[in-house]
Amino acid sequence: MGKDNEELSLRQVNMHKSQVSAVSEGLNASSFKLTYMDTAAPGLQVTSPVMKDLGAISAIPAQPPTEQQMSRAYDNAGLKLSSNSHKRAKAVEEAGKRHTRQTTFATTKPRNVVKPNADAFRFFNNLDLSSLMFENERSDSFSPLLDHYKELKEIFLMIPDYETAIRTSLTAPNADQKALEKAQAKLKTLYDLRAYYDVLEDMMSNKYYAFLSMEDTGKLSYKELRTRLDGLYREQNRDTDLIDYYQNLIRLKELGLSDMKSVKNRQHEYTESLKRPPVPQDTRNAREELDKMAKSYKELLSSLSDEDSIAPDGLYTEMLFKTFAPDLAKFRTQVPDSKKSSSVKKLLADYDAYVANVGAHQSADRTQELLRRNKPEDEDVIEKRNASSSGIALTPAQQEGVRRIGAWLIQNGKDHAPFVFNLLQAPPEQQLLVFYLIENKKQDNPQQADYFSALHNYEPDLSAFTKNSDWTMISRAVRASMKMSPEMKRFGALSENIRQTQQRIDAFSNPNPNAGAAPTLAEKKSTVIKGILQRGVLLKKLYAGAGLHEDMPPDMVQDPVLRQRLKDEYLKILELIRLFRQLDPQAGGQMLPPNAYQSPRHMKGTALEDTREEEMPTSEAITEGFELLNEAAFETVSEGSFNLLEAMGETVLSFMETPGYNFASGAMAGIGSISGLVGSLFATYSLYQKTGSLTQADGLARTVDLAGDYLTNIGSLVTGAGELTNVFTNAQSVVSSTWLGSATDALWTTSNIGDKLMVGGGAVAVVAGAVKATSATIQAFREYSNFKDADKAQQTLAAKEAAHQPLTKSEQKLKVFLSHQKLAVKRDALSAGVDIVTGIMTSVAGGLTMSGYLAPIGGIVGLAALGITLVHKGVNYALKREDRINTVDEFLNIDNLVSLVRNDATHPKHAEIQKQSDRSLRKKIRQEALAMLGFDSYKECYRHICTEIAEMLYQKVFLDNPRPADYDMYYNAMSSLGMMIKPPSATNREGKPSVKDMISKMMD
Amino acid sequence: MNDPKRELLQALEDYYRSEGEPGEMSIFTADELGTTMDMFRMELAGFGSDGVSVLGEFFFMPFEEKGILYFSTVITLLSTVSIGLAPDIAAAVARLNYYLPCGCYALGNKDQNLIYRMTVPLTENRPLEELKKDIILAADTAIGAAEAYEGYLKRVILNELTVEEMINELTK
Repeated sequence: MGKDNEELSLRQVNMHKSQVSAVSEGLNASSFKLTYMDTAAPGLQVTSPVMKDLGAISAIPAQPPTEQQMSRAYDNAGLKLSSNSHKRAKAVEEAGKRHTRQTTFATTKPRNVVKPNADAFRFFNNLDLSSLMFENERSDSFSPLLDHYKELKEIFLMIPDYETAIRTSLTAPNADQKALEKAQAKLKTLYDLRAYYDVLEDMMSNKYYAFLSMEDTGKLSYKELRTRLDGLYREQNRDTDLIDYYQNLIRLKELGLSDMKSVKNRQHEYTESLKRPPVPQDTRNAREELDKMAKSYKELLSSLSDEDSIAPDGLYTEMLFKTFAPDLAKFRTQVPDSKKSSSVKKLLADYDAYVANVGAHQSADRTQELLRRNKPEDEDVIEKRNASSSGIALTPAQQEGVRRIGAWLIQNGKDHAPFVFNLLQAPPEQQLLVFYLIENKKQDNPQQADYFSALHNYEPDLSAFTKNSDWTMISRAVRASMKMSPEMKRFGALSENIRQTQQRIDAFSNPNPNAGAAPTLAEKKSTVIKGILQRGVLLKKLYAGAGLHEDMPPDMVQDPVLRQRLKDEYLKILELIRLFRQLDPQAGGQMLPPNAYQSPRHMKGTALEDTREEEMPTSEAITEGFELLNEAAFETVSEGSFNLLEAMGETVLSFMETPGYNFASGAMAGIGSISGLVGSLFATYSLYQKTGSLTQADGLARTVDLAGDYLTNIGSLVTGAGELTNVFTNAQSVVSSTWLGSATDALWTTSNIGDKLMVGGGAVAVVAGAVKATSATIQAFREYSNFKDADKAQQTLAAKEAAHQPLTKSEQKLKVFLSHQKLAVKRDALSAGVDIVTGIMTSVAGGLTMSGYLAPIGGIVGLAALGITLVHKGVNYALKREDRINTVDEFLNIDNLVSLVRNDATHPKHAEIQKQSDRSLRKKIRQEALAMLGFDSYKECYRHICTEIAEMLYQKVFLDNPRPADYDMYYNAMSSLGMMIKPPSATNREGKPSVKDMISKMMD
Repeated sequence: MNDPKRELLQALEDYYRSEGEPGEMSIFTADELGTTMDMFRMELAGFGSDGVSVLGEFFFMPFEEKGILYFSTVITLLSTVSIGLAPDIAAAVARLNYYLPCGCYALGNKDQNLIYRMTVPLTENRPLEELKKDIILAADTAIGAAEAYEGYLKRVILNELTVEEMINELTK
């Protein structure tokens, strides 16, 4: 290949460079419209998701479907064929008709449709797109394909010309912007229409088109489809036709086109989205806002001056000032001084004093310092950081949105001060994520990739936030964000690396004259490989984060921005591969044998080995490795390093030839093959490590050997359906079989508070309409457990301790669990000799649930000893609360914390603290400790403890292989919950009880 | 006439605040609500097996019987029961109530509301401090009982459990 070709392809690479700054290119990917128009380079078709060969007649069986086939197909698809014989017969008849249609279509459709010679620009500008639905004459969605195939194809063939014409017109001097906006909207709608018909055409060449009726399959929701699809991918022998069919159904849902009206709406949406969004007007009333802020300030001062307060005065007021600052500046000028109340004036005066003396009198949050240093082992605390991580930047609109919600939290969080002020010290992107989860009701069901959506496709909206939130939800969202924050950081760092690498690659054709010597060919190749690896890792992470199986095409993701990003990364990798080929002087040289790089799982139709690639290194290892490999090693291109590059180069080149990966057509296959490439690149490297010689080989070897959770599927946090199970710990992946959202889920999702607690004026205004999103489908049934189980487990532990053997972490958790049981036993003992209500379980000495006395009533308990009369076992809220708080206190090790704080002479409030009662101080410290952990209340912390225990039990009883030494002990503990135990099997991937069920049981 | 009742409701609010209950709470006067009685409303946050927020309402029944106060707790679990499910829920509720130690579940407002309610009679002619303790105890018991059994109802509503299965579990 000559130099010309090299230049050409490099230019193509450069054309992908967006005009926006490099950082925001990678991260703050502009709204759909910009990325669409700017990154689709001519010559590189933005293709519709499916590019099947039109002549795939072989997929259609020769005979119309029999009833038996249909029934089996319905079973495969997870649907039910009517058992009514009359209806069945009708269904078979309909299927036969569909089959005939299919075969006719396949044989008679025109093969070589030519692009007509017309003025595309004029044609489309005058065309009413909704007419392409042929709504008035069609019998169903598919009939236009049969009746108007040639016409549709001809029209679609003209689309590229239309696009070119628009692009040219955009740059013309007297461009009619409005008309061109309309044209662009039309173009985008056209692409959607083309995709729509492509999908329909593809479906018609699939045997399931005949077998299944669209009426039935169309009813499935996106969630259901995705869950089933995931199941299909995990099967031993994949039904690829059914997979294709399901994927197309999902695409149809995502495209959202069905009739004339939908086309018109789509076009309208695109037109609207292209218009410059109006600058949102600030409609807030200046005086009201000042009053609100003054009120919050007054409340804060009052609580800080309370003699019981151990809060850091200066810090809290500073945070309040900082959060309110822009609004104070804006509104103070809008209200004349005469109209400002005295508290407003005080606020402004104090604020001005603060500004004049910034940093002068901030009191340290000594309590938090102590608490954080003594936090429970292995627990995460809210990170305190002002600045965003490297590689992450919030847009100004996002920053303002975050600030407004922060202000609202201060204003409404009088009783939640430690929690609020801890949250406001978290990094801005984490706050953004918290608010995103709440606004989208995802705090109980986050997906790893939600951070991506939060960063790129979300602007906080205060009114949406307040409508949806209550403090429990906020607490859950904070906890979820804490778990996702490391991943977000990695994403940021990786994005930054990618950006730098891309800069270097771009410099190949635009060398900076001041940059020193131009890179050698070997250096260029190494940089390109680096780019491939980095982007490959990113793609893998995003895929896993979105819960996509690696063989699934990227357009199965619902979030359009994420979808676009996946496609973009995918295409960029392809570009880099092409570039590499250009650079490689021995193009077409020795290929590695095909199976040298293909991991079994990305081969369509073969057994899916759930092989976690244990040898896969972390992304840090990759980039570190390449740092070392890059600069120094290639100064002197030693024989060894050059050989390595050759080996890697061959891997890249031969990758292009892999079957199941249609490089030429750019079909959006899954990234499984790219995974394979990334893996094999590194495998090549590792292999080479053992045989070749490299400078600094040792350092590299070490980095390669780093055990990583990077490329090993973030499977511990993501199930196939993308649900982030085990958010609160890192227990091994638990397949959730209950992710399906059934219609009845909605029942238990709305709180009934509504606006009942809103009273205008004086009384407490409650956040209205708190919505809770539950995903748990409780399977626990209260088979009364055998107390002996808990007893046995306890004895084993006691024996261990008596022998002075240290307890493992799991065993420690078990101990907590059992001690809780013991607590409950004590209460039970009081109930001996008691009248038993008939009909209810009478075996009082029998099993206990985690919360002991909440098991169905065993009887009336006389608790004279506790000074309370007529308390029923299991129904006293106060006792339950006390018990749970005790558990939480044990978890926090509160006694230790209280004594630390009391005895700390350097605490700014040392004198006041000495005067406080133990109970009051304990309560305050508990609140602070909970806040730093991201819990708004003890209930949430208790839930977390239950979750840890449940996951630990699940892990030990069902997952650990080989079985842990004290298996029986864990088994007994689990059975003391009183739930039927069924280990996971081939047919049922989830063990019973599931983690969720155990938690619910403990929480009831 | 309202005074002891108002004070008692206030004691209830003070109690829950001092216990650090995370939900919002407030006493509403009869005027504000357009009812005959004052009412203490509290958001029960983190309620039940899933940690939802439900509304708890605490008040005195407007009976005029001398010397006897009827303190009532109503906890609204659902306010959007779908019509088709009402018969199933009604059956489950009726059977479950049989075994409930105190209070009962009920369907109201044209079968749209699923609530738990409990009323306790209290002799008025006693020291205020004792009355306060009784009120608090009654409220705590109601909340505890409602929470302990809502899981069953939920599972019946979500079709994971038939009524018969539920009874089996309860009486094992």
